[in-house]
Amino acid sequence: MTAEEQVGRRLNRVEGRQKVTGSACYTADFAVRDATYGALVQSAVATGSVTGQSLRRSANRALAAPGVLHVLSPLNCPPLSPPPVDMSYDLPLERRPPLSDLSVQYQGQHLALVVADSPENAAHAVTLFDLCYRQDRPAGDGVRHGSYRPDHFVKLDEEKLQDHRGPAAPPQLPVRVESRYTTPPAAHYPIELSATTAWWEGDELTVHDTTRWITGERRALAVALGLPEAQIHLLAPLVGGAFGTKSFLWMHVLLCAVAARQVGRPVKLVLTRTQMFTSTGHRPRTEQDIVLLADARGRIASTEHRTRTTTSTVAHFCEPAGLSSRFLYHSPRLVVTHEVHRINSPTPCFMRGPGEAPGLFALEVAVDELAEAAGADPLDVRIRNHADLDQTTGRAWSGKHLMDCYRIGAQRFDWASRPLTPRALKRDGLLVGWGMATATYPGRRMPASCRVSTTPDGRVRFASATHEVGTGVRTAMTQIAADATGLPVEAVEFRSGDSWFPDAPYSGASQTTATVGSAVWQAGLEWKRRRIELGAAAAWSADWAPALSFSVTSTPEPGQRTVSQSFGAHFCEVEVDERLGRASVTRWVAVLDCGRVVNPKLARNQVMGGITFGLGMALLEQVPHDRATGALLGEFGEYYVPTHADRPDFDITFVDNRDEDLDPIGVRGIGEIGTCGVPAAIANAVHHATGRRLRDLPITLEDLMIPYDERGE
Amino acid sequence: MRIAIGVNGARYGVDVDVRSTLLDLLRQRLGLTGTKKGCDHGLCGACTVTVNGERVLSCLTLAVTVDGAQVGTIEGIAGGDELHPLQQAFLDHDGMQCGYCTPGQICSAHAMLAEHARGDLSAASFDCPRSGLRGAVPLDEREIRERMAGNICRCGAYQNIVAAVAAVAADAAARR
Repeated sequence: MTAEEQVGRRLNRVEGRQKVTGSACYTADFAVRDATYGALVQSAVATGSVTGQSLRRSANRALAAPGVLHVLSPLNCPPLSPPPVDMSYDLPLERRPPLSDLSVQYQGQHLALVVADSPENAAHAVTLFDLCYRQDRPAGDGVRHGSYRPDHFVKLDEEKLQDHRGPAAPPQLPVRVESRYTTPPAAHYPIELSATTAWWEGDELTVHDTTRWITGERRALAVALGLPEAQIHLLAPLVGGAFGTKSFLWMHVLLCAVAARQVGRPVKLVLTRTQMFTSTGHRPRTEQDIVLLADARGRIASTEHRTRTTTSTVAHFCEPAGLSSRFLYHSPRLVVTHEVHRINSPTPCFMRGPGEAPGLFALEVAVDELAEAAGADPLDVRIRNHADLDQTTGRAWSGKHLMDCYRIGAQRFDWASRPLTPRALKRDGLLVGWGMATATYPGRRMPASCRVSTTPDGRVRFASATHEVGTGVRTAMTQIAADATGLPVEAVEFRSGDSWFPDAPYSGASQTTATVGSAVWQAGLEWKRRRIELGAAAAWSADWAPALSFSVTSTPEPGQRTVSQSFGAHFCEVEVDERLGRASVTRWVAVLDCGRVVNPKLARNQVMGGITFGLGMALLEQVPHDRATGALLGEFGEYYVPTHADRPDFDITFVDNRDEDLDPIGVRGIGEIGTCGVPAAIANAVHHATGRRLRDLPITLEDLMIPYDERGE
Repeated sequence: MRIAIGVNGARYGVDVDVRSTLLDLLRQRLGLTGTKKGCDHGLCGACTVTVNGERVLSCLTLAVTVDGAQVGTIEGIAGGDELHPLQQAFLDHDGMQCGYCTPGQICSAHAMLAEHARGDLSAASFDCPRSGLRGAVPLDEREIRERMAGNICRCGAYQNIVAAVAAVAADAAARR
């Protein structure tokens, strides 16, 4: 047994060798005998209905094409049940079963699934569809199907979307910032396309799917198909990036399963890049109004944050942009509201930093504006408004080290040399600006289970129905398992991605390390206890294997008296070329307070990725959409994401303090906090460089370029 | 149509649909699934392989056009069980997260090092003073970023990818 602690070591990714050799098996890589290939037909209009006649003619034409085996459409789709109410009233699962009628709710809605003997034949058959629509009204004409004000975010009662504290009337104070901020619809754009392979053996369904929520998808599939959950086997051994998508039962998965039953052979369906924009969720547009009132030194007395956003007509989702404004800064008075408009647009869903990413853009630019109005340094204003306890509950933080983040970050960045006024820094004929923002994301944990299997030769395998989406969960769990059992890392293994493993929640909300890690830790400790009971000093005996194979469930202890929340500080430098309208982010310093760091090598990588994700949001990303309604429009091929050329030099520091209140390992998640605050830091740096206050993302060439005839040259 | 191609040194004779891309031929027909489909539009670089030693996007290459050619994929980079130095460097520098773009990044970097070794210039090469263009352009971080700009990593492991490539380039330069 080893004494050296594995948590905290810079271990290489345990599945890294498979990833660098091409042997890593993602959903679409899985070979199945006798496979057939699916291709989707989708609506070209956003609202109205497809005519039965054009659908019938098209389907018949497709059926007559070479290699086509089946066309599943509203004309022959068996009745499917809507998802269970507890999964659709506050989670973005579509309530309308696919192909249930001829109506069209959004552009890109599935209208048919063609199955053929080759991908080429399936794709060709799709081109034979010539559909006619009865359009209620042109797409994107501004019509909304009502709006609603959700009470809280998903299943989290305490995360209030309508919140109020302090006096009803705003106080009279000298410093006032009142601005509107907008963020566009954005796409997760994982490089792996969503893929499904489904087949039936009698009444047993096997589904290989790119999902990061095995247990949720199994349940939704079971309800839709009227099957017991035990008859569904879901596999997702490796997922090629998710960032919030690949979580829910997206409707193509269900159609693939239905078609496989009808064809009597496995059906493999890989979405096209264009279909990824409409059929696997997106971040919806937000429009946020913020009012900050402060005294002459910039101390905030009142915060108002009103968000308007959109969802589809067939599912609920609210981008919770105002949540962090409830507690990030000390503010005796608070008003937070969220209003969701139903529009004829594809269903939105979580995307990295749901709420925080767009919400902190608005709040953290507003705080920069507040500093400007008060004539103060933006970092000083944040320090003056530090929240010493959680104002939403009145409870203490489990461990907040934001002041350390500010101090260390300012030092590493040399923030003290920053001139207060814009347009003061120049380099090689370009404007240079320095900006910063606070980052925050909740420390979350849910129940999870874990199985330990000990082989007769003494290897110990841990397994849980969680997912390796690139976050390094297998590596982190291996390290935790080694520490709990006292075994060397080489002797333990962690497996994920199979519904036959014990239940775990979705891989999202930055909760997996705390959630599954707690189950692995508990299982490892139990393994060690049993091993000692069998004879601590005795040599390994193959007979011990059954006694050392068992399952545990780890549940957070109710009534945590403190609030677990992660914090951080982002500092960045941008160069702006006003002749070309180009902003380049050149330097990034981030200091993060996310509890204990399990693997600094992987953690640093994930945070750099989070910042790069936020950089895309700030300067590049928007799905083509109708500005009046937010409805997604047109062709979706052109969506810019950051490349090798776009990223800054990173300097990442973790303050690395254990959060003992959240989980026994002392960790809080790091998946999303890297992104949170990033767009604001960049927008603030652009303001410092140019004097332009830009409140609509993304910041593009048009915002920055000085027209030739205005240059005075 | 029947074509003959070499893939990682092995010879194949296959009947291909004239509509098939090289990417689908490799993945569906030859079972070489290390090469990934990320966009099928030539945008992301995940499907990068070499044809007669030159980088190509296999999703934009019709299979029938490579009749008689030698194709190199991620499966052919390592020498047996021994990882290629680039693969080892990606592992050690953690030049990946989800790993889906990784085969494309490594194939691209592998061919890029050969391009650099024979003296190919990049757009970044011309940003330096004219005197810097004499002789071999050093493969610094700026050059690597420019030459790898066609390979998107949505997880954002870019800095580690460049560190991995730079380490291999530095080793190769030291040996020369």
